[in-house]
Amino acid sequence: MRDKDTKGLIFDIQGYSVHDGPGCRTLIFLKGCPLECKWCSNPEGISPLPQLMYYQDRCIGNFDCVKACRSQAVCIDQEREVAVIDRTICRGCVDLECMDVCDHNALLVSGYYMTIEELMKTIQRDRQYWGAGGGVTLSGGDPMLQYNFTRSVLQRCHDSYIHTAMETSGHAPWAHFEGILDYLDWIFFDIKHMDPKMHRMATGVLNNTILDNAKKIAQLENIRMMFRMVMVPGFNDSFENVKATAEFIKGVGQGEINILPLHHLGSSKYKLLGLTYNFDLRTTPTRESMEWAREIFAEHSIECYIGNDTPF
Amino acid sequence: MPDNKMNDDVDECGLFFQYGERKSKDVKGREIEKKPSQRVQKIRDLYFKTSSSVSMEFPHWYTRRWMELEGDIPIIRRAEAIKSAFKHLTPAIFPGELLVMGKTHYLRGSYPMPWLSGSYFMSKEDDMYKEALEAGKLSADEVTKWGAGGGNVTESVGNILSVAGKFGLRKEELPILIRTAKAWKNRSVEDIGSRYEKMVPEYKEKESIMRSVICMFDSGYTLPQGREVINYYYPLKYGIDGIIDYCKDKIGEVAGKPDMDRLYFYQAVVIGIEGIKSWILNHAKEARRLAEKEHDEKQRKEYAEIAEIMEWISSKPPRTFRDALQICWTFHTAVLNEDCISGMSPGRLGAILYPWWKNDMDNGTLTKESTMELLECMRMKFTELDCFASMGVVGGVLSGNTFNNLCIGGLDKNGQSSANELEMLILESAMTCATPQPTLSILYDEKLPEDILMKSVECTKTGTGYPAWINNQTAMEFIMNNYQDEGMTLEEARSWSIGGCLESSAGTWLPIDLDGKEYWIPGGAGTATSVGVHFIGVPKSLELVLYDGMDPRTGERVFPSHGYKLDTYEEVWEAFQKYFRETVKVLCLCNNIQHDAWRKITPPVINSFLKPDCLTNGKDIGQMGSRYNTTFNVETCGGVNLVNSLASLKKNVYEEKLFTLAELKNAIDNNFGYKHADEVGSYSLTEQKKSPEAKKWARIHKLCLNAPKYGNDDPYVDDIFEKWESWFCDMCHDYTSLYDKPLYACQISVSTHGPMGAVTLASADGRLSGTTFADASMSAYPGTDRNGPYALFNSATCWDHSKSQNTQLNMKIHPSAVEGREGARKLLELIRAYMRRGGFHVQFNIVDSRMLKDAQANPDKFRGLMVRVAGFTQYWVELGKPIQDEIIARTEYEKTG
Ligand code: SF4
Ligand code: SF4
Repeated sequence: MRDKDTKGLIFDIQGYSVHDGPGCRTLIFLKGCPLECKWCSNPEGISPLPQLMYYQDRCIGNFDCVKACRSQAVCIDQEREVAVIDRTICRGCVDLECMDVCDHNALLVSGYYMTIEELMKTIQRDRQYWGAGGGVTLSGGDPMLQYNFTRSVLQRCHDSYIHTAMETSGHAPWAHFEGILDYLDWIFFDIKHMDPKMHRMATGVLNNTILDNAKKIAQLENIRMMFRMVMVPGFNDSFENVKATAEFIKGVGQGEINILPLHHLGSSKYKLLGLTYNFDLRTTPTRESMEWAREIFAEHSIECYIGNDTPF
Repeated sequence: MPDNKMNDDVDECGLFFQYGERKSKDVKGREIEKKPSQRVQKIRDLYFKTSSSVSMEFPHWYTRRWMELEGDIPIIRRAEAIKSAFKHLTPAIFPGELLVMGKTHYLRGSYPMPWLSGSYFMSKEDDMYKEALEAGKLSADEVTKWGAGGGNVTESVGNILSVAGKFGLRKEELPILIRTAKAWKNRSVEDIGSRYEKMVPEYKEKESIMRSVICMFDSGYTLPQGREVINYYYPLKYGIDGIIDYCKDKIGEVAGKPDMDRLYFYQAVVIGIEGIKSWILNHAKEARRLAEKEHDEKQRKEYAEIAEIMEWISSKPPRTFRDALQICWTFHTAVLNEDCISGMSPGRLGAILYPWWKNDMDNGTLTKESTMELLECMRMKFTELDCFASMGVVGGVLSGNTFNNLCIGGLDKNGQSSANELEMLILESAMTCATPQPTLSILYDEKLPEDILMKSVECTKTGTGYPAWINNQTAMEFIMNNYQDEGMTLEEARSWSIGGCLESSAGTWLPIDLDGKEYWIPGGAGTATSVGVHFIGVPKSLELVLYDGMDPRTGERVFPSHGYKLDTYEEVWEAFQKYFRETVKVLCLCNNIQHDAWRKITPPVINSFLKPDCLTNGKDIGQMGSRYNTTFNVETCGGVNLVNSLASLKKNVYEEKLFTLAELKNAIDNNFGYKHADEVGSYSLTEQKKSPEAKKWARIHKLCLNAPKYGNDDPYVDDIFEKWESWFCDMCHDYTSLYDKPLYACQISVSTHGPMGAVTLASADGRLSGTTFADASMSAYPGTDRNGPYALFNSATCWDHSKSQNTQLNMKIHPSAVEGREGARKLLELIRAYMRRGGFHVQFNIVDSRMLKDAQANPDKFRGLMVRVAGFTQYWVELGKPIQDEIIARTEYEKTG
């Protein structure tokens, strides 16, 4: 059932998305990301496989799922009347018998496979509603992780005269970028940190590939490049880092960045996935610190947009 | 990375109530908030402190004169009664007002019209009440709940008695109320009509239908007129004396000639309009009196000005914009005093008043600021209106709203954009003076300039819920089609407007010459569309199919057995069609009798002479004097729950055989193991509580909830939806009105989805017993549209909306989704997209649900908060709890990404 070349693993599609590119857009979330940022607000986007989401407060501990699962991945904590799932066994499970038998909607799955045709049908439907200047934005996860699928979607959209945008971590082989850039009108390019070690500490990977790719993309004519940075207090909001980011953007010949304040609205999803959110919920940037960062960018003659306050 | 939707907003039942992401934990206020002029702010503050009040003046004098004229020709008797009542109304002018007059001398006054129906406002111990209850006439009242906040007088306090669940009456006026009501016993439209209704062979069925609240109310006895567009043309063009002169000439022409009813009609108009004239002059006198004793120089001058204007308009056509506006308001109130009416819409007032406005602006006697002040005053006047009717009607159907819909945009006589600068100010005044009335609609057409569209978006963004966005072309197609046999032309169709909350109503163009310039102004030319079969709760009809004609709530048999075994889905559908047809047939026959009694006993005089072409052909509205008379319709509520239930039955019971019909009925009887909504105290599916029994029904309930749902672009259910819509719209034509015209479909829920849901058990779509239906007709059931607005739009437009008088789609949008200038532009794109697909109507509540929850808990903090219900805007605190719950539960579209 999983033919990687023709099917994509998607965990959500949102029409009338208004802040991820110009106009009204359809935003497609692809599963899988090469990075693993501690503050990720879409933790279900990280794993490249479908994942079980368990809503403990709805569970009545009635053993239905235990009986249904052929891999014995789940047992019941009798005292608390809740299911305990061994996620290492579930990894990659496609049968999901447990979900079907749960009458209380306590088990749901994140991620479903779609063929290009199916996805294009949705896109063609939505396109009637975008109005002027809208289009498709691929996001995730990082769409680059499902390279073949992403490439086909972008190509098909491009052939249909649909405006395309993509948000990426930038961590992918250059050859892959080369394969899609012809079909891309707009790129949101994420910057986490300028220092390689700091970068690896927070995301699990070094940033040299990312920055190399950024440099190359920045040279292209027909693509609008919008850097994006989530401002994480105490991590990347130091004067040195903001300045280094600004210098980098200037250095590659670009002039725009969209900075987003860190938030913790995704934290509750960690629990559903059997993960723990290791980030202090109190850490959020102040309006002042965002403004302060904007000024630093401005000093480098870089247009900096805060949050949703963008000109697109 | 952009955030995916928050899955923790899923409720117990596994439904999502939010689409997209929620950016902030803080409750989002409204982005645009403006203030009225100081003058109007004071009037509004006064309004907020005022309760709905009953004055018995009008009914008292009306009744007295009517009784005196025993034996006279009905229309003359009626006109005399109206005249006497108008003459005796105590004039009242409130400080700061620029426009004067109201239904009574109370700021927020109204009164019962016992000549129509008298039972509903009597005490429950009274025989009149008991008899009506028995006949199923008050069943809707019994299941309706009022909002206890704002100006509603839901309980008697001190010297003030609560009447009909909402209105305050001074104790000393109670004897007059009882005396007047008793005087009409056996004489009222209801009492006489009911006698003849009984001659309909299926009358017993009708009573059962009413008792089980499959139908909401008898329009003939409650709201015999309304949901139509008024026409101010004759008073504006000829003035009061001009109309009197015209009638007198006509009397000379027709007296003694065949078709003598014309004589009485013209005479009645003369009598009625004389009543209005004295009423105006009484206000002039009152203004003079106030001017004399007023010390404040400015206020004294204003009173004198009012007196002068009233004296002028008591006989002559307007000189200025302000004169014209006062004339419109005077005649508007006059019509509302004549009959129990909801939804008398001013129509395209900006286009109507433009000639005078333009003239005043050109010669410098008016400025934009002074126009704004007048328009704000007008808003207060319309907002002060109350409609006195039974609890089931005012509460259950209207939520206290009077539906004075003012339309902007649309096309002119030549097919060009009709938008003008005055309309821009009307929009602006609706922002600065945000009150429920008049509610605004924009007749969206591709030809409208971007300017007025953006202004309308700005107004939508204030969160007041208006303007509603209406598809001009779709409506014109309906108008052309529906009135083709009465000679409707394309040119004339362009003059249409919304009457009431969303009823496409036929109009006409009439010429005004001003300073050598000719203007063609639009105005209503059709009769009431508030008439016909009103509000069938369609899921209830399906429930009767499953229970083979019995109402499981009351245990009463409504219909004989349908005779189907229900072994196949097709049988269910056929049995449903059978019962639904039977319901429409019976109600239509009875309703025709009601309206016949109405037109014979209380023929409309004032609305008639205003409406073309009554005055020219000498016939009142009841004699088909209006140009367009194909206005009786069939209204439904809960169609989406019907469709979802059918989809669930089809899939679960018949195709996949996951459970049997008997098992489903068992689950329904047990409300899927949930407590009843009344016990929980909430009427929204989100808030329902499981009983310890719930485990037993969990599987079936899950399958019902997970069955395909309308609003997701899912062909499985959309096909059923399309089939239902097409069948329903066509079948209406098989029934004819009193005037021998076919009925047609009308699909607005107003507030009936609350009480009609209250009487319906759990349904096959997973909806629980007593909970509110999906609102409107194109809105998805709260929480079931999980694929965003574009998928919803696709589902909604899978059939041709011009087959119906209207359709209705309500969306709740979180303020953050339309933030800023870009957000405004994108909102317009969203609206435009739906219109281009042929969607008839969409409107928005741009408000944070958490704010609404807060308002539910702390009504005092939110006296001025307005929300869109279904085709109308109302103060939150004046809404009943079932409707409040439903609005909170509507899927909220957030900014995504
Ligand atoms: S089937 Fe559902 S309710 Fe039962 S134990 Fe498993 S998760 Fe819990
Ligand atoms: S996801 Fe698969 S492996 Fe895991 S509990 Fe469910 S059925 Fe078993």
